[in-house]
Amino acid sequence: MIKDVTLGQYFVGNSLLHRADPRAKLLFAVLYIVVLFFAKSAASFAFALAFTVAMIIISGVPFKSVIRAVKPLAFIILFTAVLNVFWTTGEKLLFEWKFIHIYEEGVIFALYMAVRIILLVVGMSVALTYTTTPIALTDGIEELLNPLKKLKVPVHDFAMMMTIAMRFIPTLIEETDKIMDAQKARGADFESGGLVKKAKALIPILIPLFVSSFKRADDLAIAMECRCYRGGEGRTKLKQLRYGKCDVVLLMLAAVFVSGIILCNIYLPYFSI
Amino acid sequence: MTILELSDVCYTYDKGTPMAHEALVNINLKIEKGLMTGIIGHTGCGKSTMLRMFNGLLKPDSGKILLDGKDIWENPKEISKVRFRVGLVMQYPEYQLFDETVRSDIAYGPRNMGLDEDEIARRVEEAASFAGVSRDMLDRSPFELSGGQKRRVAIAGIMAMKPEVLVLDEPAAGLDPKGREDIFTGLDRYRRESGASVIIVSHSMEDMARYCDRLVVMNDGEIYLEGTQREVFGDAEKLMQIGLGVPEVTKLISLLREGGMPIPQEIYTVDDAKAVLISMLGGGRK
Repeated sequence: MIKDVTLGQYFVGNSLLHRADPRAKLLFAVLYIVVLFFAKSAASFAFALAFTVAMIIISGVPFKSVIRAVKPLAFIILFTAVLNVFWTTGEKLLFEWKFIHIYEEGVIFALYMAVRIILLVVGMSVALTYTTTPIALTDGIEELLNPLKKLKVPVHDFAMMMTIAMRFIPTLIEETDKIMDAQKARGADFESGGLVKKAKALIPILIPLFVSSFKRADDLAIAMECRCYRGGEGRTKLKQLRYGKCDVVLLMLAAVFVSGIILCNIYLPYFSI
Repeated sequence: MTILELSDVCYTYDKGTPMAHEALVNINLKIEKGLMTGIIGHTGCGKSTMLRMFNGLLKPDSGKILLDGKDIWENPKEISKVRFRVGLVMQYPEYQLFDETVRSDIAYGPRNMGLDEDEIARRVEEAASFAGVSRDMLDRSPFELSGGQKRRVAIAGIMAMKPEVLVLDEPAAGLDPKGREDIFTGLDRYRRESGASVIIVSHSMEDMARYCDRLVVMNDGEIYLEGTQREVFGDAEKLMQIGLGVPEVTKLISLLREGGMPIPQEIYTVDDAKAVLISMLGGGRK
């Protein structure tokens, strides 16, 4: 069950999105999110949806995996949508019963909200996590945040911490599985009982996990020092990031997305909010 | 008498995906009561998968696992009872220690069995003595012990459940010779005094030759050879074919035989070799 975690799941591929520079992809993702919040009318949401589907097709990531990324958020999406349906007030009353008033605006708003969250998650995973290795991603973040170094922000150290954290996620998952098996062999029961009992049952897993994590961190620190790691100063990279053709295409895609949403907002303002 | 039996057991990891990997193919195996059985094989040959079958951590795709003649998966809700009867010590078990004192950590298994406190205390003492955990260690924190001591505490934690079958995945990996010997003699004592069966996975042919009554050689998810020491080590060529070997002392003895020394039978342990050589060289006295 624990193996289903999709965090940081990279899909090997050679699509446009795979080849693009991580910095470009990061900027693209930020732009995508911002513009998604500008979408106002039914037409602009339809356009955003079409654009995102096109992105999935370009990336070559199977639709099944994309849906899996959204699944854990189903509850949050549903919750926000329901809240919006009941709490938004407007002019056109659709339904009324005692204290419950449902307006047309509320239904539209809820629908848009749900679509927006789904597109956010899908767009981010397709543009970033599914098509960029974690290492490339942190490299990109480091480069983008480089100007902050002038303000004495330890950008390199943050990036290194992120790289290490991501690198050890699969290791930790594997280790959790192993420890769970070991405690099950001693008769541990993680399924039955109330909340308190279930929480208590986790202690024999969490303590060994923490102990070995600390030990591993120690070992890793020593191993890094043995290889003369001294932080970011004067450190060069094996793979220099360079912008290329793919990034120009990505830029054009971004321009299409921005102008598409704005044009739809202005010229096809049906069901606007 | 057979205590544990695998019949036609198959298991595939990630079944139905492109990453599917057949770990066990039609395994038929009988584990005899009261004996020490050794399992040998390369990394990835399916040993660890098979060990997880013994106590129901993994469920076979097909085939049956019989404990005392009863299918352990007959009632899946009762599987934890099987885990008390077939104790599994995983590889590097020292990483599973968690409690404040060694005593309460060893007591974790018996406590899960729902035993009363007197019985738990008795079992902790007993298991500690089998595994070589000294009395003064019992009230210390498991995290201040050395690697070898932790290993012994973890093994005691399983022994305290008094399993009828004790299964250990490389119990001596990474220990010094003294540590290895302590663990194996402790296991041997547990087997003799409680009448339990012990199953050990190890890469050391020497340890296998010294302590095991029966040997099982696995290769590519199948049972490659099985039998007494003589039956398995006697077929050195077949072992070499899959990149395994016989104990060093056996190689030495066969070289001596080739060189013309009339040594009567195959020798698998250093002690036997010593006895035979001394008597052949006309010794026995100092």
